[in-house]
Amino acid sequence: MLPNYRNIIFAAALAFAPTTLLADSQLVMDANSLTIQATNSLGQNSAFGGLTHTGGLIFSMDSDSTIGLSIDGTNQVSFTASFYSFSGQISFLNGQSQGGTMTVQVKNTDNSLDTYHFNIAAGNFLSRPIGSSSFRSFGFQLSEDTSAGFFNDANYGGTNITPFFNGQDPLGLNGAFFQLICSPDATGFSNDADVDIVANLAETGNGPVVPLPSSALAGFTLLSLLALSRRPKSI
Amino acid sequence: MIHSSLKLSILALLAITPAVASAAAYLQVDVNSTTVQSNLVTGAPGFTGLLDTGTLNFQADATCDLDDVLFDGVSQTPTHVPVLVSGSINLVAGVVSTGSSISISFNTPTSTLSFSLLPGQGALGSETGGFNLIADMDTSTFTGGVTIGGVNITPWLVANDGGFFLHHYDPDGSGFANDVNLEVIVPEPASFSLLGLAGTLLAARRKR
Repeated sequence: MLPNYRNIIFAAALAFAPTTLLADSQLVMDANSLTIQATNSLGQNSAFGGLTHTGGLIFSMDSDSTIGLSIDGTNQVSFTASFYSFSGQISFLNGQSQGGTMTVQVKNTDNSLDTYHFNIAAGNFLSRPIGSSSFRSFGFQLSEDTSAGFFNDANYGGTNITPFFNGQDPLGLNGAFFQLICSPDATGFSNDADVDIVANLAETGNGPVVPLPSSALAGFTLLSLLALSRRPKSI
Repeated sequence: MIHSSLKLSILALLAITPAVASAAAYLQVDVNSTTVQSNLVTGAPGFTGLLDTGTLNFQADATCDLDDVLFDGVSQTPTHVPVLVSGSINLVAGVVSTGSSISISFNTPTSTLSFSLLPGQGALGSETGGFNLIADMDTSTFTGGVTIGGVNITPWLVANDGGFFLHHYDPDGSGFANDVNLEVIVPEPASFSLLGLAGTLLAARRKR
């Protein structure tokens, strides 16, 4: 049985352990009022086929589109860039995603452009709410994994995203894509779509996770505590 | 020639018309980073996934704030004021059940949006990295003020229905998540639309 003080040290070490092992950080872009145009399998603009749509969805922005940025749930007030462009497409076969790509650009006050580009996975199906009122409100949805997410700068629109920028090479960031309020008219056009884009630092899939300052501190503390716990043995 | 009392009515309606006719068809309110604790039927913390039976309880969160207010999808660029979400959603096999109600209080100045969710008209869904829930709302009411984040929402003080969306629910092993986002869409009450239409028609008649 361990002496009491060692029990205490191990308990303290374990208390820190989850922070270190589960180090995770999420960057979320919340883009509102985007446009979506449905296309058929030939790539021509067409009516939207609902839950069994075959063809594509083309994403873009218009004059009233907006974008916000949060990291780990905290709105980033330093994100002062204007929404410059949003372009992307997802292909569907009978309502199932066949994958796609997307690019988000924001324009800084010095007119430079910051870009985030990523891939959208294949496999998930379009969905819709079961309630009629919420269907009128939110239309069709798609949730998919994302991969190969790359920022072109460690400062995105005024916000310091260095951990994400440093952690993206060589395979890029993994994350998630969620599309909301896709309610196309008879021509397959919808102009009030919302999209959430998540870039996840811990799921880069490209080797060691870049530790955040808080987890680095926790790791250092853990090592110190373990070293202290070994010290009585050598006396 | 128009009767004088009718003239007065027309003038009264016209006085109202500009504000009403310009009202948007729907109000969207986005709230970010609230906290949800899921409890099992026994009351113990926990969440069992898409077919969960239990309760999602909203809790105070210091980082919860107003992300956006939109009229017909157009941002009204509100101030990101602090938000307090309270209430709970009861689930049976992942479907919204009776007794589910939510209050969203916006600070400085305070205004509170309250509504119930209709049983059987909403369900949990899965999304990458977590879960979401989309449900039909019953009557919603704003109390305590007519602005949220500096945006006037007078046309929607009482609405008959709407849609509620909870997402980015990524619970830990005990059903706790502190970065949950909400969206509420409330349609413009029919009475406002009809009043606006009446004003427009009377204005057209007056020109003749």
